[in-house]
Amino acid sequence: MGQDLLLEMKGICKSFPGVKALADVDFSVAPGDVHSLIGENGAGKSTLIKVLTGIYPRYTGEIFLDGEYIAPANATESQAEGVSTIYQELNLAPYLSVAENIFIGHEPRRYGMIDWKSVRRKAAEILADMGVDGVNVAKPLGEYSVAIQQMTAIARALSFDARLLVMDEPTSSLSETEVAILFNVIRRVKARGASVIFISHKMDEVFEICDRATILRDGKLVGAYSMSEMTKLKMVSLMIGRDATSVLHNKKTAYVSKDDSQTLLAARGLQRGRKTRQIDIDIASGQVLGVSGLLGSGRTELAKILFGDNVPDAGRIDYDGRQVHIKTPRDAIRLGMGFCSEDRKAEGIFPNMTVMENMTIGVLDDVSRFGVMSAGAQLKIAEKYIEKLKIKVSSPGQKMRELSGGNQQKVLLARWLCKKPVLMILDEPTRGIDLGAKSEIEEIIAELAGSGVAVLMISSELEELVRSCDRIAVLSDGKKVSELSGRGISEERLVDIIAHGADALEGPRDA
Amino acid sequence: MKADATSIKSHAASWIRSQGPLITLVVLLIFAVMRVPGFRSAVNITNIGKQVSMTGVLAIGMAFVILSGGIDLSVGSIAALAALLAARCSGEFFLAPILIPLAAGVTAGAMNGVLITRVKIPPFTATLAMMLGVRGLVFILAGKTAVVSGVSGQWFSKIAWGKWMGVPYAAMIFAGILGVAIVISRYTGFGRSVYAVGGNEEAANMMGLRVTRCKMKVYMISGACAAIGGMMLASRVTSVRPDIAVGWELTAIAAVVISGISLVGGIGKIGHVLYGVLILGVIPNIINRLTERQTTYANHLITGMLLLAVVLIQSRIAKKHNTH
Amino acid sequence: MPDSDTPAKLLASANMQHATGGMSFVKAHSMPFFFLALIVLNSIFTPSFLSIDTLDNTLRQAFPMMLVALGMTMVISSGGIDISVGAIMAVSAAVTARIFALSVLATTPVSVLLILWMACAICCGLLAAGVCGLLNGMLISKFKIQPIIVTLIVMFVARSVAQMILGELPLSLMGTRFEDLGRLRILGAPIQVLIMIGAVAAMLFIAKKTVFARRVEAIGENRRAARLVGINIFRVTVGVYVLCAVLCAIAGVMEAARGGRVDAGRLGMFIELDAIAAVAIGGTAFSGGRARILGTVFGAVLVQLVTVIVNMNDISYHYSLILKAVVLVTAVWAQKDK
Repeated sequence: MGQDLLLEMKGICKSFPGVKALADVDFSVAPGDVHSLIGENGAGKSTLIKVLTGIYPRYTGEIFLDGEYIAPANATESQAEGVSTIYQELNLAPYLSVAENIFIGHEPRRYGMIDWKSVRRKAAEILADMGVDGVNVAKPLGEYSVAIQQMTAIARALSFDARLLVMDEPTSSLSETEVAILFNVIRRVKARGASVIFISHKMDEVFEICDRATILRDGKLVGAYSMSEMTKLKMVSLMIGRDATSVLHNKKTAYVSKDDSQTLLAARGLQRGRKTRQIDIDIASGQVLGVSGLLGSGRTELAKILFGDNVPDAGRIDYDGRQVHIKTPRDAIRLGMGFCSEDRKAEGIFPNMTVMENMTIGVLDDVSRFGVMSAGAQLKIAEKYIEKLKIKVSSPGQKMRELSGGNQQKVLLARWLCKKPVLMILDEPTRGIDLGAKSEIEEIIAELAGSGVAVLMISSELEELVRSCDRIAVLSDGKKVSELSGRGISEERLVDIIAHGADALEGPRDA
Repeated sequence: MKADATSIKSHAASWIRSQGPLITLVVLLIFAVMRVPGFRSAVNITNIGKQVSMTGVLAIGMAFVILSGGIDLSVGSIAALAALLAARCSGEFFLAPILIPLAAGVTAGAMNGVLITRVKIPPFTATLAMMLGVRGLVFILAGKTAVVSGVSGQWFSKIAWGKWMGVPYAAMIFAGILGVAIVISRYTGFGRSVYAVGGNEEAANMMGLRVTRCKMKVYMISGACAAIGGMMLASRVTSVRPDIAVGWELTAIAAVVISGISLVGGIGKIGHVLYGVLILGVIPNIINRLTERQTTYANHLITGMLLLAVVLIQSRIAKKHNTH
Repeated sequence: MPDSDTPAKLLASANMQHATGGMSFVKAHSMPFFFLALIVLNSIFTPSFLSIDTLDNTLRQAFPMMLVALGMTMVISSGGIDISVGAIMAVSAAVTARIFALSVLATTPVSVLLILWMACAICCGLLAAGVCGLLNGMLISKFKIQPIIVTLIVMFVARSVAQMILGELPLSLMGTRFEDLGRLRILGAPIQVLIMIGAVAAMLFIAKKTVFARRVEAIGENRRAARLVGINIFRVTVGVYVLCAVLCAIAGVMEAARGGRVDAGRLGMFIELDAIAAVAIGGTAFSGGRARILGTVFGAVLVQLVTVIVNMNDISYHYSLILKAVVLVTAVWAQKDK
């Protein structure tokens, strides 16, 4: 059966307590194809992948790989079958070296012992083959940027000589250049006759690299289509099950020139280690200041200095017209700042606490008297923001970990909104979030600025920055290389500056 | 030129930061050799060697467990069980006092592993239960009287008391096991997977590593190490009482942590356990030699303070390591 | 999965804490079942198990461990552990007893002066414990040393200080008014039971209603996130360890009063094991998170019951260790997330 297909999954069903995650889904991939799996968060993409890769061994339905029936029971088995996976959340060992992350579990041996020399050599070869330079494979993976880590994950998958490569949101933390490298790698894999399952929220990428697409919605199959017969609009409509015009053509935030707005925070000569070098930055009330740059350019580091999570080695910060010393996040919060980290899981949510508790954790002093909390006051806040931000929860008492990424992000925003911040720092507020929630979060940001809050927003997505920001600072290698504002903002210019600006500016500055 | 100098300097600095345990040990030793009367004597050094060997072996097993992200509170009880069995079996067939306790230790370790990986009880709770349970078993096996050891098996008592070219066998056993442990952790698939599992268990699973098997092995190794420590103890003492080796788990954990292995899992080097073990062995020795007249309580107090100082200094060093 | 298209049900469900349904009910209540089973079994097998005397004894004996376990619950909720609890009991009992015995008042009939003196002595004991807790909390949060190591060192230091205060021999309080404190009954109920009820009620209130407990839980759940929402980790951590130490001190002082003597080398020895077991049985996660006070209460009673049963049936003490191990494993297994 299915002679021409590399992978055929038939009638896959998978339930979790109370939820039917996949209902009778068929999915097939032809050899040498790059096949996209598309759907909103919660549509069942990740679940389908985890069934295929043996993470969820309990399912109903049949899976054929190259015509042979398989029933993957764990990750090892599926790897042995020739299915390699790169997961959305990087699953690597940060303290081990890059080379080891690529080869752990199947290291080259010599006399039964790991042959470290050839581990390093082969790892370097694979990376070089992919077009990734400047990585010392003997260094711990954790010292490298997320992009390099992503590349390492891909190198690991390649090291298995996989027949089928599964990539779950591989580009969510990559810059444009890096995405280009990744696509080259994918094309090379394809040329070798292997297939790729490519999951992404980014339409442009899907159209650029994929041959076919299978669309899922609410755990059900919508259909499989050839990309040549597909348009963006059609695809989005199929994904969300309604007319897409409203979603895609996100009205650009009405840009009003806010020249009269006051500078709230002025930082001069911020310096910390090698990641932040002599950065000057001004943030004005009622404006959205975007921060752009490649990963590792020092964006997150800048945010963490401003919020007091890290203390700068040198520099001066003026806030509301007077000098301040922000040494801890508490200092920053006292000044009216709020901060949403790019890493929601590690630095944002309290997974086992309720939605309500997650929201009110920062305002406990306001909803309590003599240290005793009022349940009613908390509930009022929770209900208000659940409604206001359209957060999908069964009740304010639902556990945070049960929410999707988009809804978690909204709860985290609500956590700060209920404190009435003067300055919000948002690090990648829409990473890993589906289209619908994304535009809603962009709206929230616009509304915030409209109400006079100063917003500093970091994002890898240029489109998003262009849509939302009044000014955009571009960082490169820990330095601010340019700042665009008003009508000077465009994607083309940003790309240009990120790609060349650093080189262009380096010379004269040092001279 | 300037850049080169600073990079060498920062390299040296980062090396120093990663070598906190070694530096602490060296400082302690220099102080002891120069200021503590009698510390240098061959007898004293041999004594320290013998003393640290027993808990040292336990610490090696514990290091594997902690690197894998777990903890093993049952090692003291397992050591006691092994000591008791060794004493009991010293009259049986040749090697019985080694094989039987070892088998018991590995079995107990395997039970830890099963409780943790199959029954899915957190390591702390599972090994706490085993700590209580095995200790109960030791009491029951011991019956009303203490078990006398070393009488019928002359060769067995050599483990603790024998020497070769001035080096006690106990110290050689410790060094041998440490060497094997270093090789395992560095050059075998299992050894590396311990780090991966400790660093991020979910990731290790998704990378296709056999997490369950790795954890089973880790606890079995710890059980075996505890058993070896227990045997060394049995060969050293004249009689084995059931409350022997109480609190050894804490010594082993302390040695591992002082050697720079993080309780979070995945960070640290097995070889550094040597430093942790020696630091813990040298401190009381120094204090006993310096304060011969004082009561033991005061010695405990000073030991505690000194240990605190060691931990504090290391935390300062590590803090700088992390923030830059 | 979690984000299905179901319309948001915005109204709060009445039961905010347990919003997950049927399975969790059984899990949440497995402890009473256990408890009942043990009681039923024992009323059949153990002679005079259901007498008032037995209850009285069980509760009085359960007292120190219960208090320590309550404190331990909060510590574990913050993601820490405290193995210095037994030593803290010893040091506070030693300080209290030594100071109390200083005065000739110790053996005089009850008077205002005596009560004041006793209160003063107890306060000094509590203070000593507070210092230990402060040390624990400061070292853990300021210097970022692992809790197990910090409290191990404090255990070492505190116990030797207690021994230094009292010297070689146990200090006898026989014939002093302090011994009467241990036998005090109010309206027929032993003072231990009253303190215990008070402590449980207070801790329940703290854990459920106070900002402090919420912050403790937040630190236990996600330390980084707690820092970034502006929680003062230092203050909360110190608070948790001081709270635990004060509970230990009450346990230590009352234990000294009950026994009529203070043996600094033995008082509270290994109590941390029983207390940790009680917390584990009670369902508070060792990785930190929600503090389950009621669970701990059940756990503590359960662990104590094992001891009592073994004593009353004249089974040797050794079996109680094994029985505790079995109870611990079964209880934790029964409640785990499936």
